[in-house]
Amino acid sequence: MNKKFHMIKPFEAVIIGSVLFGSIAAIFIMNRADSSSRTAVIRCGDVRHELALDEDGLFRFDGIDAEFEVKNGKIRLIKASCPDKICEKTGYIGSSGQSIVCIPNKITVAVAGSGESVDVTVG
Amino acid sequence: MKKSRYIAVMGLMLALASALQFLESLIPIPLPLGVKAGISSIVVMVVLVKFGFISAMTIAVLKSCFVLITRGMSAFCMSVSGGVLSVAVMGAFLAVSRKSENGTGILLMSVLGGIFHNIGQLAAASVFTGSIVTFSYLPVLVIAGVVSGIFTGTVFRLIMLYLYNADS
Repeated sequence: MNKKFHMIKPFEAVIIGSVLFGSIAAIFIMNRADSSSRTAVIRCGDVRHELALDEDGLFRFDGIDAEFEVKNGKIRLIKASCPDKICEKTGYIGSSGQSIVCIPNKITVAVAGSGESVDVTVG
Repeated sequence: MKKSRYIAVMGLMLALASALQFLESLIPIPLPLGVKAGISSIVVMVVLVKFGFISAMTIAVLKSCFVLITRGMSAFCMSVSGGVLSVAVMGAFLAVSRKSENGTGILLMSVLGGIFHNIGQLAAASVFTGSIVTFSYLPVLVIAGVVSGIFTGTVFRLIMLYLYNADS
């Protein structure tokens, strides 16, 4: 093996380690539980619905090809029509900042804490 | 290298990358985000190191065209944005690190490639859904990128032990 290629040097390990540490810290900060009542913002193209998460049940909205189940302050997406079901596999989300995304159906579900707004869009 | 030989080798590499990408899609990973180990990006890295930036970019884009044929438009956009961004970052890293005394850190290169592949896909996903909510997946995807980068970098290093001095 020539000297132009090496596997890893200490400073590179430090870079990779700090990126990992930052990501793990970000996950913890985002998942910090807060007990205030939350709402889920469900968007599909121009359709936008808000759903309070304090009442259990099954929900369906016009123009959105999926069903939503609310249980114990958490929401999950079920009966999606997409082929890969990545959105269903996400499972229940309940902390503010968490989200479910379904690319084929262009559905996003975002949990917002009370008083918070996630109504920011790009593209 | 003769042009005919270059074309033949690039064709082989493209076939290899597409086949590996397809085989990889058959392996189910119990994560909700469609995270992949990125086996086919090993081929792209080999092309990047052996044949240069433009060749690697060509393979990455053509590999995504294979996705367009087999899995449709939205999968193509995700694939091409991730692939192009990852090759761009790895190519830039290679160019910078080759000028320095230290040489190229294979692991750092492939980790950067893995991270930016996922960031590119995330950017495409947020354009698709018209919402930046998708970026809440960023930390998880960065970790996935680091893990897959370590895996592909290790395999890449083992391959390069045999390939670097081989007649190209």
